[in-house]
Amino acid sequence: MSDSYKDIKELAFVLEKNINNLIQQELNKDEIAKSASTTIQKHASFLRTLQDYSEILSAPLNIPTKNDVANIAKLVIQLEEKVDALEEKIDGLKERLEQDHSSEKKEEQNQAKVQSLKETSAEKNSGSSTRGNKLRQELNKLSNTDKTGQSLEKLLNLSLLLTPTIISDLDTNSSKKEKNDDEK
Amino acid sequence: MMKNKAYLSTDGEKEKQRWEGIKSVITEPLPEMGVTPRTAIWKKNKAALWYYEAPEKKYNTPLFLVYSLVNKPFILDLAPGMSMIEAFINEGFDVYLLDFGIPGYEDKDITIDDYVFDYIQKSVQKALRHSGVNEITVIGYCLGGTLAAIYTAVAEEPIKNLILSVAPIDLTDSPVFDKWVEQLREGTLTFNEILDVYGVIPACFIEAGMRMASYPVNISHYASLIQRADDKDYVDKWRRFNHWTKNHIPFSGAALKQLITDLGKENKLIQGNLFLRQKPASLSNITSNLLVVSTAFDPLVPKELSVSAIDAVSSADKKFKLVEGGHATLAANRGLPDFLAEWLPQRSNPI
Repeated sequence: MSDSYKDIKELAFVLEKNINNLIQQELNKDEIAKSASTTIQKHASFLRTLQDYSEILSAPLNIPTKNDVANIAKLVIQLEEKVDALEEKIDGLKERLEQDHSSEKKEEQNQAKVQSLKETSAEKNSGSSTRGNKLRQELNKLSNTDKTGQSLEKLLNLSLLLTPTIISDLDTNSSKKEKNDDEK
Repeated sequence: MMKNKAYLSTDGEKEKQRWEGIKSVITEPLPEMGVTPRTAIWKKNKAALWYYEAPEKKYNTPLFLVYSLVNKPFILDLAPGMSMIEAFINEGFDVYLLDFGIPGYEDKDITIDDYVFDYIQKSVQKALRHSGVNEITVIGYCLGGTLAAIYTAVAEEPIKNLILSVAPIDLTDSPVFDKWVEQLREGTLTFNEILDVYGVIPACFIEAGMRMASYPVNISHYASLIQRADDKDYVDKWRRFNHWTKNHIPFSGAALKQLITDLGKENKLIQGNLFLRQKPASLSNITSNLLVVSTAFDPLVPKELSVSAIDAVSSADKKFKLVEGGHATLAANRGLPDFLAEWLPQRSNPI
């Protein structure tokens, strides 16, 4: 019994394939394509006329047409696009804020390092880098409010680390010079 | 399945089971489809971007699936055990699916440009932001593959891998109705006016078109059902697949007009002179890793319509694969096919 169902299935496949090939062959002809083209144009023209008269009649009959409903739907879609654009801008701002927040944290970490460097250089150069200290004092006034001042302070600290002895020599030399001038 | 057959000891019992199976097709409600858990992370008009999270993520590069505009995408998630999406997430991939939705009359003016830039590109951007990664794999099925190729050609987003599955790219030689295509190219046959008048082409017209190009008369699947109706699992899977084949969706008239003119008539995509919003959508712009897959028994998209994509792209890593099956085989697979299991994981940045 199950073999007969299998035979029916195989027969159905062969029959289907043959019928489909026949249909496609018969339709795949130049005259059929031309005839279809003419029919399509006439059909489109008829539908266009029908739609135009529907639009005209909708006015005195006071009934909405498909176009009216579609226009309202398009307005809603436009609104959705604007909300989407706003959402994207907010996402962009959020990302930028997060980036700024993480860079501020890095800035604070740098400041802490600078502070520790200051303390280290102060220990190294205590009593000898008078000029350096004076500069640092002036810059400290600026550094709390002025980013340029902060940058300068950083440069100064770096230079003090690199050349602490030069400043101490300068100070020593300038004090010696003053002494000599006095003696003279 | 074994449990079902255990007590079918006689032909009589088998016949009884067979006719009960056939009766159930008519009387019982359809099984639920598209049940793999998902979240909608973005919606636009009728479209939705769905996110399927991998239970155990093994690859950093997520998959972005683009389905066709002529059917509903639940073919990719027909049933547990018969779902490409389930297979992907079980392999460890996060999956994003762009479902274009069902267009209404208000969508009659949506063009291919709009679909590529406002739907596909936007949703890829959303997927990248949602996943937090730097690159993505795009997989396109059938017309979705054509759209995926066009999108990748204009994309600014980092598309690491592109997989085109039974996607029509080169329409130089039509597999069916070549006389009609000749007349279209000569200008004696035109569909512009009828498409404008209808606005949105009804789903039954789309189904008729697909049928004429593949199986105008379709009875063999009923014969298959009758032969195996005693098997409840087979009947269940038959019902799901049959439901999908009968679920075409309307098509935007403007998009169809553009496809017929730019791709069908002038074959611009493979020729390299397709422009979308004044941007060149040339396949030579594609540098992503490329896998093009065709099936041996596909009457709609035979391999000749896809294979030329391999020579047209600028990708260094590219491969063409011909596998057994029909048009819907790759979308309705039971698990990750071998060719994908070999190709995709190593290009997806394993964790």
